[in-house]
Amino acid sequence: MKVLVVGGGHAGVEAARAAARVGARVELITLDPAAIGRMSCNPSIGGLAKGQLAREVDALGGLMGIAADHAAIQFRMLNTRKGPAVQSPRAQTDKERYAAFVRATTVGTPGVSVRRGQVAAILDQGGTQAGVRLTDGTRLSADAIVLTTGTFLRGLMHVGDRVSAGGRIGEAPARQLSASLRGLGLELVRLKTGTPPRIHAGSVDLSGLEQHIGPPDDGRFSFRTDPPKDRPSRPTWRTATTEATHDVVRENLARSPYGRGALESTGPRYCPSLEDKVVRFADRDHHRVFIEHETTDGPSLYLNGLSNCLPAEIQLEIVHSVPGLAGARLLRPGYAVEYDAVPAYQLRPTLECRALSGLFLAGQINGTSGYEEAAAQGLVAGLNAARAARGEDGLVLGRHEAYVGVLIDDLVSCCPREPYRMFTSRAEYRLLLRQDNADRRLAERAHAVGLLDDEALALQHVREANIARGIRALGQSDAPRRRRVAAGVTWATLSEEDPSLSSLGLDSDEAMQVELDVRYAGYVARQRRDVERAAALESTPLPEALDDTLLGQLRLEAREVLRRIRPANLGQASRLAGVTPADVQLLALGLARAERVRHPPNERSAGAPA
Amino acid sequence: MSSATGETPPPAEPGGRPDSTDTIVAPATAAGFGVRALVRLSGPRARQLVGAVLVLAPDATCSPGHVTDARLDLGDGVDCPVTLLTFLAPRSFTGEDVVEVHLPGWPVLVTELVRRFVEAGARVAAAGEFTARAVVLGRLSPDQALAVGRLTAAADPAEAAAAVSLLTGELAALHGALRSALLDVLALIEAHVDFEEEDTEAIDTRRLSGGLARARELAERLLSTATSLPAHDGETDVVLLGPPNAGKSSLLAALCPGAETTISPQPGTTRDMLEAHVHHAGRAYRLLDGPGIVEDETPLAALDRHAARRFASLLPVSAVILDVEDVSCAPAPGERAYRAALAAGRPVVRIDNKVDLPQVRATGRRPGSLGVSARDGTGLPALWEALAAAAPAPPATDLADRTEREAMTALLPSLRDAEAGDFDGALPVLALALREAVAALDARTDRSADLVEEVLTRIYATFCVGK
Repeated sequence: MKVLVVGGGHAGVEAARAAARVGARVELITLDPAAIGRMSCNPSIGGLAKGQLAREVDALGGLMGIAADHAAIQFRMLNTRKGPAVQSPRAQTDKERYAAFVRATTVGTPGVSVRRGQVAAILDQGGTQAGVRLTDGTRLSADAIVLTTGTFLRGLMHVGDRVSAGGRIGEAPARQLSASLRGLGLELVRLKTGTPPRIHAGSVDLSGLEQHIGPPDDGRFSFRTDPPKDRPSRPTWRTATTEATHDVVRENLARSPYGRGALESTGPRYCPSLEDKVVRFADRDHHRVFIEHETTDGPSLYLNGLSNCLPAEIQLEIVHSVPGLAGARLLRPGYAVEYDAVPAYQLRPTLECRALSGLFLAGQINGTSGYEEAAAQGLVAGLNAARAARGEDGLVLGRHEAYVGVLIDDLVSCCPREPYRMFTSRAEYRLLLRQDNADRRLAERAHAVGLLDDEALALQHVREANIARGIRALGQSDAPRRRRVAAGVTWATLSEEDPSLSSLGLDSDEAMQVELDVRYAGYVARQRRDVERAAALESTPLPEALDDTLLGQLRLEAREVLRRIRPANLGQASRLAGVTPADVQLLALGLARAERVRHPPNERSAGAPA
Repeated sequence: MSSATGETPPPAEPGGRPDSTDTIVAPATAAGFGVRALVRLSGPRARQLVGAVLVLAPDATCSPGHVTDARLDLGDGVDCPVTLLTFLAPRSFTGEDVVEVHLPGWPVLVTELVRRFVEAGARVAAAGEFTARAVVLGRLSPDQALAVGRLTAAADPAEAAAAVSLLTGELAALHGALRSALLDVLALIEAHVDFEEEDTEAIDTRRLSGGLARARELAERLLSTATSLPAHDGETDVVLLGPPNAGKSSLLAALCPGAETTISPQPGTTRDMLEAHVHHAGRAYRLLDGPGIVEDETPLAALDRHAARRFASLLPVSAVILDVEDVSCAPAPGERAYRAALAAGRPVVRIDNKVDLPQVRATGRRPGSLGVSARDGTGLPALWEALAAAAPAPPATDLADRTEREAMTALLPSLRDAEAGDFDGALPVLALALREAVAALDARTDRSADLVEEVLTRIYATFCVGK
């Protein structure tokens, strides 16, 4: 069983490793093996909602969490005051150490081999993939293919009035594959993203700026391994743009592709360019800028907040107008990149193309943004490619089980107008989907599909048993001790008062799970009820082809949306923009009627007055 | 049929997937049929259940488009004529087999018929389940459905006009304003939760408290607008009991001036059954003129006695009894005892009617009774006061539907807590309540909502987010 993975970014490496983990022979095709695992944009892993995704990738046996722990130069928990449901871990990472670790681990994964090359076409044999053709004419066959092209499909970079072909600075684009995908009947859209300028650390004096150094704690992403000891720690700094900055931007707007309207694509609203901020929020006299180390000891500083694509000399003027950056030397200007994506409504929830079976897509090609979003999809696509090759059903996680489930369900349910980024507000069950319980939520699912071995599952069972013992030891729901925990008293405090609790020997993670389980029991129960209520819809499949007998009575808009998105079940249908609650009820009745026509209940003929 | 206490299964949870494999039954007000009541069955077993519960003529058929006569056997050799209208799937109101049973408009008969259908295997429709299916089929918009419901329950033209204005203008405006206010707060919270990584940044409290107050006021208004529009099922039943000569009919007319009283001349149930709906001092009443007793042995009297017995066994527990006598003449033997037995356990208001007449019976007024003259209006204010005091408080009837009411009731404490002060840790919980409230409004108005996208759009329009 052979799986081809095209691309070696965050999606590609997780895809390759997951497929190999469940027994596939994997060939990873990349334009540049040295660029495997590269962090193209910001030097951090995690963040709000993304931290949850990174934890889930780890709980599903992925690499991202371990790599981030290995490369972290600062680890923080965000949103600590806003309740555990929306807390997220984030690590500033050394990009070089991160990529090197990912590269070495991926290349060293048994069953994974790497080939330098560029895919020109996906081969189609009667609706099933028949391998790929490389630009040098080589044909490779496989049992399944995972495409993770990132920003490389017809990638076009903009810096000021300079436009150049490329997926990243210094890297050539994939020119031919888009046409091949169109030839398969796939619709492609154009998306845009951007990255800020980098400056040389030796050229600036940051001593006057507000500094942030993460706590020297042992924070980590991975549930499964301990982070390395004696991690180096590097600060970030905080500064802001000034009116002078905004004047420079305004004076030179015409030289930005944004100002000129030269971009045919839409960029992300959650990550606006500096041009955008200045134009749309003209009344603001400053915008925040964070200065972040790209590596532990290297010179490169990342200017978080200054993403723009003005000409390089203007970017320098802008940087110089920011307090603390007066003498900065530009290592690399910011730029915007446009690329082709395949709107994921054309995929099944397993991430397999409807148009071509055996072809799986993951990452930015599906219209997402972000390392974590890419890694999550890559892992699922790689696993499902291997499973499909064996004739097994793909893993589809529910919206109540994981952010990964929310992510993929959202992707296959809409046509993106901007690159999709995860937010905690996208998860209707976010009180269930906490970053701290990703392993508890996913261990069984991961083990069932072979991503987690028996030993890991057994450890998880021990952990669950310890947590359950801890909760039991607190007594019934109205017991005083339990009420104290619900009110915020910690397990550690109670253990000091009562040796019988400390004798249970819970570790700090288990103790925290006890506290959270007790504190949030009411809300969790409420969300579970919501999940159960929705289960009837989620478990009612819709036929692959929605014909007029089913759609005939729906409103026109609903019919169009349903024909286009082709939801897998009633639950997904109910979440589509353009489908109303009444449309869903009508679909349900139509399905039930069709079911009765196929299997008439006996009572229909028994004794009814004719 | 031994008693009227047959257990009815709980109605289905609204909002879930409509389970069209079972057959549902519910009484419906028959618009345009005057004195008749309507019980509707929908589902695959509709016709089978009709066959099990009703007696059809041997050659009668339940065929679509035909009116079929049938009878409801009430026991003791007495039965009630009913009329059936049949609609076959999919050409029906709900898209399933539907049978409408038209019967005399006496509530106890309706209750009894529904009970028998349930006994035979039907499920009582959840509130609005039929209407929901009508909405599903696009026959009615949800708000139109509501308007229909309110209008059919409206007891006077002024109230009907109020209902119309509320539904077409005020409700829509209120829904829109409330939804917008909820989304404003939600956007503020989600911006804080999803875009504000630095814990040092405080939420914009001035903006938040303004948004919270507005959302709370509108949610409270949605809940409180309710009580001005009592629905049909919010009525208190008042049953007039007394001999035929006691002046019940004129008392009924005096209590409900201008209201249309309907006469139900259906043999087999009761005779000269009068029903009227009236509002008084903010309460809604349904007045029913109960069966009198005629002590002779004609077949008609036997029918009356039978009806009275049925009445006794099926009289609503919550009904208030108006025990009416003609104060100018002595009661027939046994009559008071009969009425007392009938009224057992229910609040009773004793009325000595016709106090305007010069002659008064030798025994005079009954102790504790109210002297009333239906003819000149003497004692009517006191009668209303006594009724209001005796009647159990009617259940609250809402402008908000059940889902909305639940969502708003869950939301309001969270809003008030958040207004009161420290809320950072409670933000995700407040957000959950806000989402459910918006979802409830959207379900009511059948709106397709991409809630996340709407919130994000608000965030991007309002805040300069992102680094």
